[in-house]
Amino acid sequence: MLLRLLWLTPVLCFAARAQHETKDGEKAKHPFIGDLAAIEAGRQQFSTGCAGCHGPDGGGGRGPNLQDRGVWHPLGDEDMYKLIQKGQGLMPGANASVDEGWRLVAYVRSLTTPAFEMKAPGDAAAGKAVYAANGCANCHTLQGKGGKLGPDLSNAGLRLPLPKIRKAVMDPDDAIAEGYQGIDLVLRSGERVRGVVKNRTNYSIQVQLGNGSLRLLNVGDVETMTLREATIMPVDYAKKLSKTEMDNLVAFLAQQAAGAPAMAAKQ
Amino acid sequence: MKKLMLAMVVALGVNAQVKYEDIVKGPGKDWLTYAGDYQALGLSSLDQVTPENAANMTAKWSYTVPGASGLRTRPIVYDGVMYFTNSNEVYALDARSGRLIWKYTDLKAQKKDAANRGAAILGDKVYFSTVDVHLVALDRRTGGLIWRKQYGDIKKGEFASSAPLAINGMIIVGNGGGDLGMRGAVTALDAETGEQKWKTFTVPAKGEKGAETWGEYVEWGGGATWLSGTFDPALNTLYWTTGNPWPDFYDGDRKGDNLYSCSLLALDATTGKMKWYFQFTPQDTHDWDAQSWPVLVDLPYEGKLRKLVFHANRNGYLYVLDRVTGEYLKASKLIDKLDWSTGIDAKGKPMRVKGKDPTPNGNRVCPGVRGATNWMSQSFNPATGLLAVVTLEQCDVFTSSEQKPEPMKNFAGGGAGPKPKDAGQFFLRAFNPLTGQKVWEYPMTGKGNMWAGAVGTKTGVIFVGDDDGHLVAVDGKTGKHLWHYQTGDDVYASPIIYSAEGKQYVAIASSKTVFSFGLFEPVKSVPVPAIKIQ
Repeated sequence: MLLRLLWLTPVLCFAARAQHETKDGEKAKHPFIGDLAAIEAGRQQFSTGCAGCHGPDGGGGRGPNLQDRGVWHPLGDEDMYKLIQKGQGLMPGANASVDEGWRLVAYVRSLTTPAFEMKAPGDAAAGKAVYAANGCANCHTLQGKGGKLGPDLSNAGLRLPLPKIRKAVMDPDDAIAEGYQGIDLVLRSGERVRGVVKNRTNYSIQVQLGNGSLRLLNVGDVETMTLREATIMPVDYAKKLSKTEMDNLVAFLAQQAAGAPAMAAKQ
Repeated sequence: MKKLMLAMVVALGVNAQVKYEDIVKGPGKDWLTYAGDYQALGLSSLDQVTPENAANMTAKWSYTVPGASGLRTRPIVYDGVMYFTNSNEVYALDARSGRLIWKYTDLKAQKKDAANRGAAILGDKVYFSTVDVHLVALDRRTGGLIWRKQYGDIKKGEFASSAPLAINGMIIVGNGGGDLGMRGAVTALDAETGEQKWKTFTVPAKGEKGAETWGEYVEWGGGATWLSGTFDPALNTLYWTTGNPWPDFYDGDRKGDNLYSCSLLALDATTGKMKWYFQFTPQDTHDWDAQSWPVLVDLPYEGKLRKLVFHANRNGYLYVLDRVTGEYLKASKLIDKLDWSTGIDAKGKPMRVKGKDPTPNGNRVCPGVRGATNWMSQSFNPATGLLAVVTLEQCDVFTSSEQKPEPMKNFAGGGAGPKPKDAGQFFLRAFNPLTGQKVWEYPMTGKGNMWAGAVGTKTGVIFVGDDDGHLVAVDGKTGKHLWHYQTGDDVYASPIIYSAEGKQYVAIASSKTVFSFGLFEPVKSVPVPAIKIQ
């Protein structure tokens, strides 16, 4: 009991001073929130303990999927800190130091914070050149320009957190975006149709070709249909790009947020 | 794999784009603008469905919109793809199968609680308004966001619900919020960049001409512009209607005509400058917005070919104006239950019956607050000279409140609604606007809850949503029932007509689901293909 009290004392003290009233009366965020070094340190702590239940990337396992913001959305930073330290139900407390606890909060937050709102490492301007040099525009669209075989990236920075953008470039096979499964069809007429599957039922298949045009095909007109379980995106960017190039490319993609008012300022 | 990718990339072709000239042509295969055409004739040239075979119509597909409740959307269709909206969302469906191609959800919208009436299309962009008054441009092939531009301010009581109107190089938008205090405006944005080209307020600022027709609250006066307008390319003129003055039901603080509320505005499309206005209901106290279609027609009037505009107004009258000058030509009654006025005088002003304003204890007035008609679509067929309009025979009890008006505080100056056992009845009616004659009517006997309109074909079929959840087909010459389909839901949106792969469809959104109908075809047996997964 004494030990527990001693353990709680610093937590509560820190909690009391973790958020500061600013001049405007708004609560200031803990400095670890959004800090990449703290997030990385939090990720390493996470992988040694929390990952056992929440999955190696927070994607869920025996415990809830933390990449789904709905799981913890009602929690503010302070409450999440307390939950991590104390535990809840079947979840044991982390019993970590104050800084370690806040690093875990920073990491969990980063799983869902839009990349546009994070300080991405890398040079976005240089990343634009990486995007161009590697032919990304052959399959991906930005601001209405580019190919249609991969997801439109115009708003990637608002839709995806940084780790997901990085993962999607380095390991595109991990999760293929809905509507972008590769398909190769031979029709009974002899025609061959290749593209990505927008949707498919037992009776018809809709294919989007590289130029964006759509073909709705009746299953009855199809001789053979080959669906790709693997992505059609090249899977060698993790090897092909240097760390700097990868950072730059991720920084460039993180800035793709056509609807964000601050976009012009950031660019 | 690289070879496969290369082949797909090399297969790039130049996709067709929606040109302004395509919209000018009016509806054929595609339905390119909210009203179907710039004139709001609501008349398709597709000829597969006729009065003789309409009874063979059947549902081809349906798409239930996740989380939807009270869809107001009227889809547009281009090149086999249907685009429709829900609040802060756009969906692209295959128009033949109803299957989802992409969906856009606006992540930045600061306000969510308003309906959305539809999208616009021009070039390779699909446009729609978010509730928080931003115009959003999307890549029509991917749903990717291209830009998002603010054109109004929710902090000033505005929101957006109407479908944008795409004209030559510009997107024209309106605003809503007139029941709680705001300032109506029509705004033009550059179709390519979203840059604002012009903005015309529908209510003057203090000190401006027309401000003398108001009182202290002129700058919160309303005159919202929540329904798309129509457009005459030859006259380069937009025709846009305005909503009620605020507070809706109490005029003690706004003694005067309250310009330019409850009006039709003719605006120069290049500059936004007002060419003329026609006010249907000066100093309105019954929430009779002018939001109903300005239908643009060229017809002989008293022996001379005139450029006319028809307007079926919520106040109970069907007007005929000269659309070049705004000159009043004629008005006739849309409904039988009309007691607030004895008619329209030679200058187009209503001759009011005294004692028909709202009172603190309530005053029964006809038509009711929903009006003799409303924003539902109409259909005009030049071959018959008939305008099909959904009308409502209803009287409401109107109350007023002398409470000091407070903008954006849920204050409308009173209220309105029917007495128990005094519910109204909807009719689809066909009028000859030039003579004022009601040629036929199709009575609806459902529960009286609907905002669905009409659409017609040149072959003589009119489709209309009814007040009992049906899509109904009637004969355009006689109003005779031809066919109906129960959607299982209320219908708050208007139907459209399009074709894909040579087959004609009629589509309508119910409260939660978009349906598409066509002529019955037996299903062919489907051989199973060989499926390989790599």
